[in-house]
Amino acid sequence: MAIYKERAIVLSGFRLGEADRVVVLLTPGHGKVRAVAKGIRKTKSRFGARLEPLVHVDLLLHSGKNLGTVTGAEIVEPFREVREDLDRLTIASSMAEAADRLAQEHEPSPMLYKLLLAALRELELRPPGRVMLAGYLMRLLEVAGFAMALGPCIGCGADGPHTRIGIADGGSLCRVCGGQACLVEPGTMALLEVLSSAKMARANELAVPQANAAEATGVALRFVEYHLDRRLKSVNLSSVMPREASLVQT
Amino acid sequence: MFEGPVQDLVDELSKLPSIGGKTAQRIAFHLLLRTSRTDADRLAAAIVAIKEQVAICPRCFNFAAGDLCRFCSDSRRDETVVCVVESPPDIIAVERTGEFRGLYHVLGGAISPIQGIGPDELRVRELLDRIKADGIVEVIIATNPNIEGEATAMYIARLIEPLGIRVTRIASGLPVGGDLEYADEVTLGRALEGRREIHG
Ligand SMILES: [Zn+2]
Ligand SMILES: [Zn+2]
Repeated sequence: MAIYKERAIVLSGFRLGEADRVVVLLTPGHGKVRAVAKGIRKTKSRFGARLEPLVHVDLLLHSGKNLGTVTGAEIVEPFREVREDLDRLTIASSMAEAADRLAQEHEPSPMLYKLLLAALRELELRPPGRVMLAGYLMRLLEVAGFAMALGPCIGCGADGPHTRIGIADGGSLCRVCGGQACLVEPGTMALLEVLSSAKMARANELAVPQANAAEATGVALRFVEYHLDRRLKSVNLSSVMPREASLVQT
Repeated sequence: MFEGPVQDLVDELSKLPSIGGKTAQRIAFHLLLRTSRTDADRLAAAIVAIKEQVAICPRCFNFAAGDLCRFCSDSRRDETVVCVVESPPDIIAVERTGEFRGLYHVLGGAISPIQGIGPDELRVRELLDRIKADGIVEVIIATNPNIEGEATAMYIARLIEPLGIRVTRIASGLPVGGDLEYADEVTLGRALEGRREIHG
């Protein structure tokens, strides 16, 4: 069994047996890693809060047949503001869950890791803006190779701006090609285009009308859920997150 | 696979949490070969008894042997202070301190934004109803000091504070008997925030 060092963001964890926990980690070099932290649930565990979700840590890992084992952990960034504020935590949880679902085990994913780290750093500095989650999801789609095509109609090539988005088609559609696609406001289409290349700090400071923010978040979520082939579980505990944005289906 | 009754017991035991097939077999063999008839009868009777005699307290959702649990039915307890916990074993832990004389409220878990466990799956609404109906003036939130426990505490505080109720959170920090140099910065930071004056 090999020992290796990795930097990681803790995505989540679940109880194992009496006192252990399995932690799910996002690493640049090994993609998603699941590892056991032995004895972590005991009050006197040397791990303390080092392996709590959304903490950025330096780890010493023992690779195993199925599950690795964490043998050492030092905090790089605790992201306390993120974890101790309900609004930030709610959005960060959705971000971590989406990254968890898209990352593959043992497949290096430096971009996914960098993106989540950038998003957490932004949320540590400032409370979430209206389109922070939408911005992250649009960048996530791009990093994962599922970028939305928002230029000309993906059916016939007609120039935009268009007001229909085909989730399964992967982008914007004209009136003719996109009869069944969901309808968005022109402002939302423009917003999605901006977000698809915006850095996290920029996405978080964008001041846009609530209706467009909700619509953009709804589209981005549906896109991600379409590619994951499942709904994201993370729940909305916060008033700032337009989680249940309804889309007009025509 | 084993013969009739042995296999039946192995099957039943493997339904229990954190007991796999191998462990179930070990327990079954232990009961078969090393446990006296008296002890086996006592175990069987204890299992039957909890199903027949233990109910859930309709007020605080702790286990109850009568109509209400022993805290809710004890007139010496302070009914204006409620300590909110995740599960009944947490009540035992708080009681052991001997420091708390109020009543409890068992949530039945913790909010986990990441696992998709929201307030609707816990007894949060019941807590709000109690606060409005029972003249409660202080709520102490004693959920676990992890991300789920903190999220739960923040959520409940946000709901209750507008009602003009005092909401406090148990302090978390360093375990007594631990060494400061091994503490991580999150735990140590919390301990600093929760510091108290000492008088020598
Ligand atoms: Zn077209
Ligand atoms: Zn009770």
